[in-house]
Formats: sequence, C-alpha cells, structure tokens
Amino acid sequence: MSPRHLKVANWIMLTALILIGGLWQGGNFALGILVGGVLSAVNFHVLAHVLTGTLNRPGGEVQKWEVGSRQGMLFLKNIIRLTIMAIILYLVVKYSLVNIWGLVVGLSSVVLTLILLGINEIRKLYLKEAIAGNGTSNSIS
Amino acid sequence: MSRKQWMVTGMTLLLTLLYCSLAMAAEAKGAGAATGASLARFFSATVIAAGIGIGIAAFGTGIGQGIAIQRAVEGIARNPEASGKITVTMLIGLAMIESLCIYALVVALIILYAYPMAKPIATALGFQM
Repeated sequence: MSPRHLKVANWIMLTALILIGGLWQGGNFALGILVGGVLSAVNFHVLAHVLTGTLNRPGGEVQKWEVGSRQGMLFLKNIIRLTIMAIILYLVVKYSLVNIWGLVVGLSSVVLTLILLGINEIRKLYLKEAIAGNGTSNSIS
Repeated sequence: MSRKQWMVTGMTLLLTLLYCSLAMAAEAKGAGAATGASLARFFSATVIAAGIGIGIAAFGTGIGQGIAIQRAVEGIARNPEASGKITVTMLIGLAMIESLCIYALVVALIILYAYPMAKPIATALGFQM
C-alpha cells in the first residue's frame, strides 16, 4: 500500500460519502461532508509530504546544525498546519457555515478509508494463507 | 506507591464521589428559583469542559505521536532500506491518532459555539425558548 494508493482511496471514499450524505440528508449536510473531507484530506497530504520529505532524505554526512534545522522546520510546518486547520474549523463551527454533523462525518473520511484499507489488507492476507494452505507449493501437472 | 497508599487514595476518591451527590442536592435545594445562576453555571461549565477536553486530547495525542515517530525513526536508523514501508505505516498511525485530537477540537468548538444542550437544559430549568 503506497501513499498514492491511500490518497486515491481517500478521494473515492469522500466522493461516495458526499453522494450518500447529499441523497440522505440534503445539500447542507453534503457541503459539511465536503468541507470536512477536504480539510482532513489536505491535512493528511501535508502531513505525508512533510514527514516523507524529512525522513527520506539522502543520508551521508549531516552536520549537527543541519539536524537542528530539520527538526525546527518539521516542528514549524506541523504547527502551521494545525493552526490553519484550527482556524478554519473555528470559523466553520462559530458561524455555522455548514452542517456540523456533516463536518464530523467528513473529518472521519480519512479514518474510514484507513479502516477499510486495513480490513482489505487483512482479507488479502487470510486469502493468501488459505490458498497457500490448500495445496502444495509444487504444481501438480 | 505502595499498595496501602493506593488503597487509601482510592477510598478517599470513592468517599469524595459519594459525598459529591449530597452536596449537589443540598445546593440545588438552596438555589430554589435562582435558575439564572444555574444557567450561568452551565455556561461556565461548558467553557471549562471544552478547555479540559481539548487539553486531555492534545496530551494523549502528543504522547502517542511522539512514541510512534520515535519508534519509526529508530526503525529507519536500524534498517534504512525499509524506510518506505516504515514511513507509510507510521503515516497511517499518525493520521489515526491525529484524527482523535481533531474530533476533540470539533467537540470543544461545538460545546463553545453551537451550545447543543443549552435549549434542553434551559427548558428543564423553566425558561421559555
């Protein structure tokens, strides 16, 4: 499972949630899911970008000051990300711009995607074990 | 802390909780028709609850994410070739942990600005809304 796979699955899940929410509860609820889902997806993308950029840098000789600067940048980027998220959520909830329950469902879209992908991975693992345990590893013919 | 100290602490907490209901009942009887004061207390309690709630959530999230990142960095340092797999797994974990704090933030904001329980409580106190 790659980060790209996760991102695509997340957008598909968000689209499905918006459609189901819109048909079930109406436009304002769907708008809430859209806002919450986009917030949560962008948050996840930025988190993935920042962490992979920091952890997967090429090795070699790294100066002590460089380690400190990397840590500082990681901290700063995280704080900026969370502050923007909190400000947007504050504005959305305070001025009731969208349906709050829709917003909560939208914010859960990433978690729902991860849970579903996890279940899928476990299912694949069990299927593989079942197939491996069914016969021999050598072909019969 | 020894077992005796744990027992004493537990019993003290239990007794405090037992007497808490009596104290609240006496207060309610004394307050009588002062429903305005009750409402003011309710709104003060919502602010305190929101603050404590997000504080606890941030505390737990911080500890969880810190441990996850520590272990991932240790793993990458031991086996740099597995960094891709470790990073993806860590990202999934971090997203799950962080969503809990975001939920707590949303609940705190709802408590602070949307007042979902204000109407039923005001009606229960005898206010016409």
